[in-house]
Amino acid sequence: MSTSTTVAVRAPADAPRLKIVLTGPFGIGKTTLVGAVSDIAPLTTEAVMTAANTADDTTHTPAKTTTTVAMDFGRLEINGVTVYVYGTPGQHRFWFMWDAIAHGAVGAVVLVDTRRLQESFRHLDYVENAGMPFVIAVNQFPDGQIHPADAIRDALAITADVPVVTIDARDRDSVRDLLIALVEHVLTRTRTTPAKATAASSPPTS
Amino acid sequence: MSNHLSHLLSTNLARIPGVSRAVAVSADGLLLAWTDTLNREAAERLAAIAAGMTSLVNGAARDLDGGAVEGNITTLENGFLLLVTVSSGASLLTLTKPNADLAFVTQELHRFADQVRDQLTPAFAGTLTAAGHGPR
Repeated sequence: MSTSTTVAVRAPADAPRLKIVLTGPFGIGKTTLVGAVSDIAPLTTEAVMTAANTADDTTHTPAKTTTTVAMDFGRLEINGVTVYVYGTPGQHRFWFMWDAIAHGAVGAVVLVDTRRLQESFRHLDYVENAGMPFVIAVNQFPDGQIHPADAIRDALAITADVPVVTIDARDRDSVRDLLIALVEHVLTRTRTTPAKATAASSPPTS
Repeated sequence: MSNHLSHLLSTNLARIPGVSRAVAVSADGLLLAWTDTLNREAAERLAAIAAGMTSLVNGAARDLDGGAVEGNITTLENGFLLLVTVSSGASLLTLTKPNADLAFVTQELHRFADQVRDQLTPAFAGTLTAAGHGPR
């Protein structure tokens, strides 16, 4: 973009911008999801996994050779709203970054894999404790069983108002629909429980 | 996003020898301003990187009992990547030439941050309300 070189002109109010955070365990498809949906070339911080790395379990992702070491970042437009997607790193040793990555986010996507739901429990705990509105995204792997949303809600012990969306993290339209569901959920929660929604995010600037 | 702030950033940095490109970023990674030497997409990615770098270095500082992070210098083949953290948690990420006077650049970046302090504090959190969707 070229800034005016003559005189500073106040631009018209910008389109609203929302930050959302994407979380879930190692190898669940966070980087893939951001890559599929971003309108700009996404920022990825992938590094090659070393042979010495025995800390990360690749049982469910045997072809995986790289891993995100800091975060993923992408941007897209949905109905005039600019949505910024920040993905957390999956491994435990990077969890100290979560607070910073989630700072200012209005909502979260928790990715789950039906073959290893329990691996998403800690991610779910994190967004629940942060008081952040969230949706569950079931990344449907080809050899994963298909379960009804209610069964997944029961297994994750979440309430009926939390949307559960089945997605293909590689598919742009599928991921866009997921993010639209999250934004709608955030707006509903913001309207119905203003106090909690405000407490969940940083204080707005006065 | 303030084009006014981008303009101020560009004109202020133009006076510092050896500095070409820069972004100003809120604590939560929101791009606040960028110099006219960068395109917007690159600036958005740099904003996320600045927030991530701040987070990583803060992690190290905490583990090492090093106190608050004031800045970070990365040596590149073609210069330095300078990250300056200002009081509100916002940061300025700049690329300098190899021969730049880093002490002077740092001092000037802090001076700029002081000048525009109020404009370096907005966060994503306010935007829902600004869009008319917030709590009433």
